[in-house]
Amino acid sequence: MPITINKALRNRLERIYLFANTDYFVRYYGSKLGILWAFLNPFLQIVIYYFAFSYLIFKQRDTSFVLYLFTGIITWQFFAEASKSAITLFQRQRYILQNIDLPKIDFFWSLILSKFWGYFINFLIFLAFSLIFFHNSLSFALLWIIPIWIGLAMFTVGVCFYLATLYIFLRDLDHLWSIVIMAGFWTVPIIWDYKIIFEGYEFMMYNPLTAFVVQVRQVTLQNQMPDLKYLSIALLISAFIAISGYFFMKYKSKKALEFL
Amino acid sequence: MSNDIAIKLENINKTYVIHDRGNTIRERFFSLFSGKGARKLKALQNVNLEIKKGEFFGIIGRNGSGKSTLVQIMNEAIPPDKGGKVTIDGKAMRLALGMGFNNELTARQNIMINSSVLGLSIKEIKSKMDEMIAFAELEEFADTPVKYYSSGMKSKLMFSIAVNAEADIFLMDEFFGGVGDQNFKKKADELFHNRFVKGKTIIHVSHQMDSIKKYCDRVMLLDKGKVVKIGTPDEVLAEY
Repeated sequence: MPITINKALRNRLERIYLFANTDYFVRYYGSKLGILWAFLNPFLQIVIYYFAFSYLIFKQRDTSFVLYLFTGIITWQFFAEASKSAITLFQRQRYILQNIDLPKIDFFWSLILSKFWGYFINFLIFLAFSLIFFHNSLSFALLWIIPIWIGLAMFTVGVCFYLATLYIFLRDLDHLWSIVIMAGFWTVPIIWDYKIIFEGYEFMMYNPLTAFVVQVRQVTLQNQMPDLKYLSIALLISAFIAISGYFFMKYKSKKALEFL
Repeated sequence: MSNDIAIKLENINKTYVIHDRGNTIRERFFSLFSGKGARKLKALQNVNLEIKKGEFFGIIGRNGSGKSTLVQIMNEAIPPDKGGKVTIDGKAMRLALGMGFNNELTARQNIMINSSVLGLSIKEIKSKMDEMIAFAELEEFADTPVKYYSSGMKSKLMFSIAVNAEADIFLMDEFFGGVGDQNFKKKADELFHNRFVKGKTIIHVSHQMDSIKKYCDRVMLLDKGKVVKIGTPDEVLAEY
């Protein structure tokens, strides 16, 4: 039996895609190299880390530390960029909200999708570097990246729901959030060695972002299955934040247009 | 609600709370000690209304009389005060010329995004793309970012996009009549008549009395948030 999608649902999915597409590509409009920057940027980032960690700041480090660092940074960047962008989401879309009664959640899907494309391209560059220059191999453990990404997306969209809604009533939030993001960067094992966590700071794994960063490395750099206990806990916490965030957004954003 | 009613408003009041104390934590912190509170502004008072399907309904009134607030309540963009009830049968859409473009995008790209918001599929948009650009008389600038457009060019483009919108009820907030030169106005008037007047429910908010008189079946006059009169255009315009 052929699968049919009714017109309203198809239009809705198309709209989410178009918004995500525009949000992703608009940053490259006007530049000479255009979309090429999406690939050049992570490529050059890795090259810079490679030289920095091979010859400059941490000369004693193994050069494969570059991959360790890069996986952490791109995973963190996905969360940081999406959450920062979510803060002014309703304000940016107020013209649409004023005119048409669209499901507000669609703006969040578009946002997550757009940021995820950026993350995915970074991830492909990472894989290419890992295979070509570091001669790493891939295994079926890499498939575990799917539930990890689902969890990461759930957690991120949940935080986005809260931030976008709170900003309606509290305009200082964007400044406050910049500080939180800066502090958060150092509480998650992006630059420092995550094995420290297991030597007495295990509670840090209950931060879903820490758990996801650690698990991404486990399945990509070590070709190992993720730790199912910590992955399950991170998924549960993320699902809770996504669901509670959705209801918070749904009920508290009704008066958004009066304040924005 | 009976089947022939498109919009029913019961006991609609709207009070805006004006926060003179500001929105930042600093301002809020100092407002704790200054004793300044929030002011209340009654934008609508006890509005009751039924608009029939297929009816062309006009709303007039001075600036600040509550017209746009009422349209946004009909559109469910903002809620009425407690106790008010809005019932809508069908998909409603507000059309306004200030609906907003992404200035970095070209006319084609803005048509794609805005038409999708207005309910068209990608296939439909692609098939109507050239027609919309030609109607807006922007063939030469179709691939130019709209940040280089004049306000008149933007208005024509928005009009051209908006007339393809898919909905049962159109809430036109100062949408029609003020776009472009005489030639474009004539063309827009024809398209407007062919596209909208037939079979759709239209709520037409305007200061332009000639279009109110020409199209509307009934008109409502608002003043300071209160309904002054509802009747035929001639009856209501006599009081305006």
